[in-house]
Amino acid sequence: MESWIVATGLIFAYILVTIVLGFLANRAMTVDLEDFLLYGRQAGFVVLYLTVVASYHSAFAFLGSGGFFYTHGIGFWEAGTWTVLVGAITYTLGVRIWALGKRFRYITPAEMLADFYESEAVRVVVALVSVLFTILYIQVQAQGLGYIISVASGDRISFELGTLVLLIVAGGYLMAGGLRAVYWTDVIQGVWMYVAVWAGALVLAERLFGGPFALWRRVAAERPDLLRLPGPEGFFTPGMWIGMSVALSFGIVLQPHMMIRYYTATSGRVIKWLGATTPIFLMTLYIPAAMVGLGGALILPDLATPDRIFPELLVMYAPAWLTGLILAGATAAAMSTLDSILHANMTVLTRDVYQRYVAPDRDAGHYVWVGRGIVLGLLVIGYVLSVNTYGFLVTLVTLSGAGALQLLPGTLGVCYPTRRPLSKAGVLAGIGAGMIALYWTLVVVPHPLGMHAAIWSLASNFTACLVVSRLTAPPTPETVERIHGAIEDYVYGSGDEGLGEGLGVSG
Amino acid sequence: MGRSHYVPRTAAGFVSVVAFLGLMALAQPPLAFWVERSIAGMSVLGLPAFYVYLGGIYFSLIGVLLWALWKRV
Repeated sequence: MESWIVATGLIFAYILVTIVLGFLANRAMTVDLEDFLLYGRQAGFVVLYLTVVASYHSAFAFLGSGGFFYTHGIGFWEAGTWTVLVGAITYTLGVRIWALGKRFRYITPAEMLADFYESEAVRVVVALVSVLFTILYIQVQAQGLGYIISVASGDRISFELGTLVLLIVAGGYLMAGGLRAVYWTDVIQGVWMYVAVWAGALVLAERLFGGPFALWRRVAAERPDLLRLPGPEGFFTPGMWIGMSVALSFGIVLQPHMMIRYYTATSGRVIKWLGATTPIFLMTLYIPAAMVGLGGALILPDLATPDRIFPELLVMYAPAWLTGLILAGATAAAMSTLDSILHANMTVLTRDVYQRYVAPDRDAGHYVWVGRGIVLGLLVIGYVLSVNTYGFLVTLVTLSGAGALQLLPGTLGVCYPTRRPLSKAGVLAGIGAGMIALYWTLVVVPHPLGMHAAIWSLASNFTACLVVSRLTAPPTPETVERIHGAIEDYVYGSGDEGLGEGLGVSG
Repeated sequence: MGRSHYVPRTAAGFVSVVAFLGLMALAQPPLAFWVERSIAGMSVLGLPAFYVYLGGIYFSLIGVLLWALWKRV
C-alpha cells in the first residue's frame, strides 16, 4: 500500500474516533445551558488538565513552533517563559475567576465584567473583543489542518479541501455534544499530541542525526547562527521577547476559551493544581519542537513554508504508519483548540448578544440551536480566512493574544480588590486606547523601537484606564462590596468550603 | 474595601512571589540577553549552554508553583 494512503488513512481513522465521541457526548447531554456551555461546572482535575493543555497547545505549538525554531533559532525557547506564566496566572487569577463564576453563576467573561462595572457597554465591548481576536485563532487551526492533510497526502488532497473537511468534523461534534464533546475529545487529543510530538522528534533525530545530542552538535557546528540571539533574521530583540511573553501568556488566558474553562472546574483547588502542573506539559512540548525546527533547518534548508517542516520531515524520513499516527496527533492539536474556540465564541455570542438583546425569554433548547447556527457561521469565516490569507502561525496567534490582552486591566479590576476600583468609563477608554495603539504599532509603524505591539497597546490601555478611572465614578459601593467582598472572603476567608465545594482533585 | 490584594499577606505567599519574579527576571531581557552573550558557543552535556540555562530557570519556576501549592498559598 502506498505510504500516503497509510498516513492519510490513519488521520481519517482518528477523525472517525472524534466523531464517535461527539455522538456519545450528545447522548449524555441534557437540554440545559450550563451543561451545553459549561459541562455543568463538573470538570475535575484530570479532564480539566487535558482540556486546558490541549486547548492551549494547538497547530501553533505542533507546527508553528517548529517553523519558528527553523527560521529564527533558539530564541523561540523563550516559549518556556509564557507557558510558565500561564501556570502562574491560572494559579492566581484563574482561581478568582472560578470563585466569582461559582458564586454569581457567570457563564462568560463579559458577564463578570459587566456585573462589576454595571455596564451593558462593557458587556458588548468585551464580548466583541473576545470574539474578534479569537477568529484569528480559528484561522490558525484551519490553516494548520490544511497543511497536515495536504502534506500527508502528498498534495493529492488540496490544502483547501483538507481544511474544509476537518473544519466540518470539528464543528459537527461540537454542535452535537457541546462542551461535553469538546472535553471528551480533548482528553484523547491532549495525550495523543504530547506522545506524537515527542515520538516524531525522537525518531527523526535518531534517523537523521544518530540521536538528539548529535542533532544539537550538528546544529552548533553547521548553523551556529541559529543558536544565537536575536537569531538569523534579527527577530528576537529584547522588545519582541518581552512582548511575546506577555501576549502569549496573559493574552491567551484572557481569551474566552481559556476563561470559560476556569468556570467549569469543580473547585478552586483544582484550578490551583492546574496552575502548578500544566506548565510541565506546556513547556516540555517545546523541547521536541526545538529538535524538529533546528534539525529541519539542516536537512531541508530552503522550505518555502517553514510551518510545514515537521510533516515534511515525517513524510520524507519516517515510516508511513508512524507518520500517520503523528500527524493524527497534529490534527488532534489543531482540532482540540479549534473546537474550544468555536465553543467559546458560540457561548459568548449566544449568551452575551443573542440571549441578552435579541431573544431574551426562549427555552434552553432554542439557545442550543442558535449556538449551533453560530458555530456554522464561525466555521465559514474561519475557512474563508484560512484559504485567502496566510501568515506565520505564531505571528497570527501572537496578534490574537495581543487583542485579548486588552481585557487585562478590566479583569484585574474585578478580581483584585484595591482601595480605588476602576470605573466603567476607565475600562472602556483603556480598551479603546489599547486597540488604537495596537493598530498603530502593528500596521502603521510596526513594533516601534523594537518593542512588540502587545506592549505598546497594553501600556496605552493601562494608562488610559487608570487616568479616566481617577476622573470618573467607580461602581456603586454595594456592587464593589458584593464582588470584592466575595473575593476577599474566598481568598482570605472560607475558601472552597465557603462555596460549598470540597478539595477533591480527582478526574 | 480594605487591603490591596496585590501584596501577599502571608510569609509563604511573599516568598513565592519574590522567588517567582526573581527567577522570571533571569529569563527576561536584559539579563537573559547578557547571559546569552556571555556563554555563547559553550555547551553543557552536548546541549547549548543558553538552552540549558533557560531550561533550568523554567523548571525552577515550576518548582516555585509546586511549592506554593504545597504550602497552600
